[in-house]
Amino acid sequence: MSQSHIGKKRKRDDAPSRNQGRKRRTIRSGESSSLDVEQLEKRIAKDPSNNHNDVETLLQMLDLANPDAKLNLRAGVALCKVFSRLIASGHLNQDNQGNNQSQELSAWYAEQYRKYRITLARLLRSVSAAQRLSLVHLCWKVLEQDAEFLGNKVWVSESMFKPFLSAVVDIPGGTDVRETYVDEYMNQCHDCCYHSLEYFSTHVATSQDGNVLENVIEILSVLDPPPASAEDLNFLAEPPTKGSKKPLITPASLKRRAEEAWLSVLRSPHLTTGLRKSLLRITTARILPWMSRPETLMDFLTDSYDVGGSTSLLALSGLFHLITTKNLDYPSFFPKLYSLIDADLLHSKHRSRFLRLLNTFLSSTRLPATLIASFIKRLSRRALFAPPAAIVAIIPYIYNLLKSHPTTTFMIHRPPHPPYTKSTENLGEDPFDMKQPDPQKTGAIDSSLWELETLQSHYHPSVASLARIISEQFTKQQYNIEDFLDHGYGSMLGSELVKEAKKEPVVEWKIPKRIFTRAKVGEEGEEGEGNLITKLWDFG
Amino acid sequence: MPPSQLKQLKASLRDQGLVGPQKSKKQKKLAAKDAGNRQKRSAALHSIRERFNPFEVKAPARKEKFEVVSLKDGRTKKNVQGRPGVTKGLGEERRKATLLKEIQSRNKVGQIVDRRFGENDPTMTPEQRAAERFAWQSQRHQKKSSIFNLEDEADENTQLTHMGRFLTFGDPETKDDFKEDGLPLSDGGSHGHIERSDLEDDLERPTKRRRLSEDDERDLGDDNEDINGLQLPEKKKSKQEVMKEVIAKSKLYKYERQQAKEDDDDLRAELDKGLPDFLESIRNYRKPSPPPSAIDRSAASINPDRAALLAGRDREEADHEYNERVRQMAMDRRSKPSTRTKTDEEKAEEEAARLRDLEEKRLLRMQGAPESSDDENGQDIEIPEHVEEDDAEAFGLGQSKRPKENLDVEDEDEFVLDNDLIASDSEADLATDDGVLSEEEPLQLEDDGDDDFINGLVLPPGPTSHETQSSNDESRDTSHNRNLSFTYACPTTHEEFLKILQGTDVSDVPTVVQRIRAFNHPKLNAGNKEKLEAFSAVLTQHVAYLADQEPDAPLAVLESLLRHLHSLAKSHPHAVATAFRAHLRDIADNRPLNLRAMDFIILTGISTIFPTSDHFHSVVTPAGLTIARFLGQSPAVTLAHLVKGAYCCTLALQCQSLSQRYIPEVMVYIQKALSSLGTAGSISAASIIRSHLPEMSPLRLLDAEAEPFASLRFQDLFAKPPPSTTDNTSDDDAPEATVTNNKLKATLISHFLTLLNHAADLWRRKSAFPEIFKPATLLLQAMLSQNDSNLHPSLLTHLHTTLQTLTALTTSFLHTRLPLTLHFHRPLAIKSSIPKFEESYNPDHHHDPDRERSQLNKLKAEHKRERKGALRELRKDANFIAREQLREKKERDAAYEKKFRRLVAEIQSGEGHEGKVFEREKARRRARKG
Repeated sequence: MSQSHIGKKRKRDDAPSRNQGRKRRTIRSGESSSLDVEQLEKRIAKDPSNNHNDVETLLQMLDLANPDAKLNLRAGVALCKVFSRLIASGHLNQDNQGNNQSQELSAWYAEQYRKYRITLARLLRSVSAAQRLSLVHLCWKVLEQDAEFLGNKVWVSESMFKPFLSAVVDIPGGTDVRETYVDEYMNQCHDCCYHSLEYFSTHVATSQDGNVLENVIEILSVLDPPPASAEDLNFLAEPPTKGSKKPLITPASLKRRAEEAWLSVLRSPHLTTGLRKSLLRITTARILPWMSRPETLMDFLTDSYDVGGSTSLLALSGLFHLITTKNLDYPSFFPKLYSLIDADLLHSKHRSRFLRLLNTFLSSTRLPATLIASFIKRLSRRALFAPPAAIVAIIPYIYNLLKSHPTTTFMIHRPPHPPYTKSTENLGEDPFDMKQPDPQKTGAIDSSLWELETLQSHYHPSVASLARIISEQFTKQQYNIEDFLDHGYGSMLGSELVKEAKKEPVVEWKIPKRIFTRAKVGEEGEEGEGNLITKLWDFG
Repeated sequence: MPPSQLKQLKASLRDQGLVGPQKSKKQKKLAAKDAGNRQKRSAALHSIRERFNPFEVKAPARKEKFEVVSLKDGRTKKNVQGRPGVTKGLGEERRKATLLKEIQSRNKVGQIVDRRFGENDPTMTPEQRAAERFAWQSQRHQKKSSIFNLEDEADENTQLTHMGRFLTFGDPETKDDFKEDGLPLSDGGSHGHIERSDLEDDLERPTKRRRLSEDDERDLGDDNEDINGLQLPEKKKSKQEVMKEVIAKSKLYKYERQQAKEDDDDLRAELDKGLPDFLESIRNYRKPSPPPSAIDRSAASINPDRAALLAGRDREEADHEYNERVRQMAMDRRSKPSTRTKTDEEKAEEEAARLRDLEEKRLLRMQGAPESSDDENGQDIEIPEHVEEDDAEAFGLGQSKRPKENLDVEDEDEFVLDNDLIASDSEADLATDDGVLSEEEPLQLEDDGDDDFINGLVLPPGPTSHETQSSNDESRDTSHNRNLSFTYACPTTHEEFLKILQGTDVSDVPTVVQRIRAFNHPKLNAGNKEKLEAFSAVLTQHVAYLADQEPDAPLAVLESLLRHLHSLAKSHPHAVATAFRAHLRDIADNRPLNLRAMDFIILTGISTIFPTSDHFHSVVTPAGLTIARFLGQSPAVTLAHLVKGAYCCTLALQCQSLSQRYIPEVMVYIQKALSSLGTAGSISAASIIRSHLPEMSPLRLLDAEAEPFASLRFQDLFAKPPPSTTDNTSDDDAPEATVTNNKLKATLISHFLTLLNHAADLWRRKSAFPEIFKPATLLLQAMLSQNDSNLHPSLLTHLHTTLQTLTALTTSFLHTRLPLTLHFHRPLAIKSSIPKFEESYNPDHHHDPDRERSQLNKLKAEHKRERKGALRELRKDANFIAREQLREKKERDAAYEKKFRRLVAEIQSGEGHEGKVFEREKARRRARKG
């Protein structure tokens, strides 16, 4: 994709460069060929009505996408100054009561100004990354100038705003540009923000390009949370009004605009799984504050939750937020949550995130014990094949669950006779049904946590010691899950290797006669008998 | 209201029968006759007197308000009555017995006043005492005791003497002039001296004189006492000390007397000796000089043996020799009974005891008992069972065999000691392997070969210098052993070691190592221990380095080096462990998922050198984690990966053969590998473990003809990935490569099945056994059911048997399994809020819950009480002393008065007498006149 972009850019770059040669020649033939940018600027400032051709020269200099981009920028800056002076002196005002000639001149200037703006926007798309940010600032300067000139019509009428914004949205890989735009302009000037949001919602809906969606998400996700009151609002131009007196831009209206923009993003047909995941990741932190009616997110979240896998994992927090704060009724929440504990979960990188959420979801002590038992059993079943870091996180969590739901402690202590077991026969069979999707019906409450008992003889000493807390007296109120979550092979190994051994390590007292080679037939003492390595491997 | 005192008295007298109605004379006489009656009467009177004396009994400070009945004090309270009179009397008597005696015998030894300077003053050192005495003495000389004393000069060097002898013992050369006179120095000037020395000469002094001096003292007592009392606050010597001194001094005198006598004898003998000469000289006759028989004569009195010894030698020399011999004899070590040679049974028993001890220690470590106190409570129920079984196995098998093995082991450890470097077992082993190795050598060490080639051309072949330090330019053949240097410096870095080994054949490395170890044995030099520690790190590096050598690692050499390392680890466990940990850290930092050949060798080395069954071990635990990390995280996408994984699985299972700990990663990996190698249907089964596996794995075994090898080859681990990985390339390039690949795959399947079997055997007692192996069972079933045709018949049977064992183990286990009963703990006590009653509560006591504070208070109270008591006693003592002094003074005054009266009376009578005489004389004269 990016390949094609580069190609396009190159093509666009090429065209002016071809023109450049010709135009330069014409300039050279003219009298102002030898003058540099400053002199040209000064000349225009001196007498704007006569030296109008210099404006054109400067424009041409700007337009030339030659490698000497510094000159371009200088020309751009110079032009900006020129036009600001022209605006101030009223040369651009076509309504002035001047003579015919001056009217003609101002119309010509207006045309040049329009051209300048378009050129700037075009340059912004094509210029190299190093030059981009200064060009953005230049564009903003021009926009400010426009705002001064046009008042609050700057957003709707023909001005720098639209080309600038569309360029910002379209630049491929222009994350820095978009961040600057959001940080310095959208978050500071709320009218700009308002109109940008308006633009986004229409643009996303109409655009066929997936990249646009991505870029818009990029912009929206770094947007500051909405202002609390009308006093916090800042405006670039004078505040626009709706109808007679009511101000157009209020925090509520801003919110509404943002909501529209977000919804259009969420509804977009170009939403890929990756984008969806990244959206889900920022749902609670970024999207929800902008929502005047968070219920509108419901469909999106439930859809995502039903996708399964890590997507549903990511949808969890948003969904839970809706359930707790907005009274969302989602009956299959717990079965779904239960089904999320699949074979991959404990190996995935979202493990700790999920466990944190699970901790909040199951924190209520009013939840039925059967449900909790199912979760405990499923987690411990998964822990049988989990890496040590996951086991380390799960065991204290299960301890907490057992502690807060005393009915489930039968899973670790069940005398093998009728009041406690349903029958005295076949006690070894696990009544727990792993395939049952409904956590209320798994029969886990009648089962025992043999898995955790097995993990007490885990190969890693810390894990084994930790697993022993299940069989000790439950004197501790709760374990702090946070302390156990973010481990991994690397960190565990690191902590082992960083520890300086204080004691002398014990050494095997017997030096084996054979390590690799197999004992000779005649040789006595087949030590290799119990040795799996020499038995299974041929060290020829 | 009680009756009056008088009435009470009368009543009590009447009650006792002391007063009563008038008795007749007869009755009175009768009563008086009876002595018992009289006694009774006096006792009754005494008791009545006591009762009615209000001062005899101390009244309680406050009257008791109520009658109280209590278990504690009821009895005692009645009896608690002060009897001030009695106690006062007792105290008085006690003081009379102690304090008065002390006062009376103050400054006295026995009956004699001790006026020596600082004699009983513990604060004075002997020097100070001497100085004090000297000062006093010179002062005495300075101030003239009497103006009429003309002999001052003569007194100048008066010293303390006794019987004319100086009291400075030890230097007899200073003699006093008075010796000759034997004058008793009893005049006033020397009075002090005598007094001071009177103790010293107690023994020698004639009793008469002693009495005399005592008289003097008594007469002049007052003056002297005042002076001495002022200047010398002397303390009384105890009798024992005095006696000791006396004894010591008498001994000294005795010794001196003996000495003097001996001297006299010597002198006399000398004179006697000279007498014949003298006589002869008188008679003018000279005898020929006597033969040297004098010695004989002198020797005649001694032991004849000794005399023989002495014959012809100087006596001193002989004595010297004799002394020397005696000393030698004393120094001779006493002979001891030699240790008995033990019988074979005893040896075997000792060995068995040692093994048992080792095994017990290992078990303790396995349960993590000595290190971790935190998991003591959580004793695993399962482990003891294994323990017993283990024990039984170990000792059922090895009692007769093990000691012998152990001897080998000792041998291995000892071989560094023998100086002539006799080839030990390990070397012999190497020698047998040399033939195999030599084929690989030219390939491995090409540059070495070059060197050798050059050497062969330039230098004449033959024995090279053995003595010289091995250096770069030292010439050497490949025909090894003979021309290795015998001495090597101990390398401290791997580079140095490589330099040493330059030009050495790989198969000679163990010999070089052995020689380095022998040459730097810790017993040979003090610094060798550190050197060997450094060397063990170097050796670890070298093992890794050798294993990473390109074509094929020389396994026999590696094995030998690892055994050397093991032996080094026994003496320097810390250094070796640190080296291994460094390697593990290197793995963790650089290639956790891409293990190399050297890593496998090092991991294998760790598994043999260190006990893998320990609960925690500073090397084994990280090593286990490293293996598990590789198994858990490395993608099983290529055959090379699978081979490595297979090795890791094997190693991990091998490590747990004793402790039987559960390793989830191994189970996951085996299933992952089987499902990616196996047929398509297995994928769904594998989803129980991991759902994401490549859809169509290139590793799938599709060739039914592929027959598995007997076992995986270690070299497969180091196989270059390109030829073995991708099937499609090998399809094009070399069909035989595909065949080997297929064979390798088949072997891997078989290998993993074996591992699964082994794992099932290892963990068959784990309570979650069915849960652990259920996915694997499903997977195997799927593999079997999908398409049998794809697998070789031998593999199929292997699959079948594995599946059967798994299902059999599962069903049998399910029968015996019971629900968990982990919490047969004593139930936790409910926190009680009932106050705790104290059995022996006494409101009079302070019940301070703070133990320390209460003890402190107790101590304080006791101190206060004691202090008060002591003050009271002191006060009473002072009163007593004052009283006594007053009494004494009164006595003295009375005596004086008496004396004065007597004298006055005497004078008066004398006067009267004289008056009368005068009168008489006057009358007579008058009469004469008249």
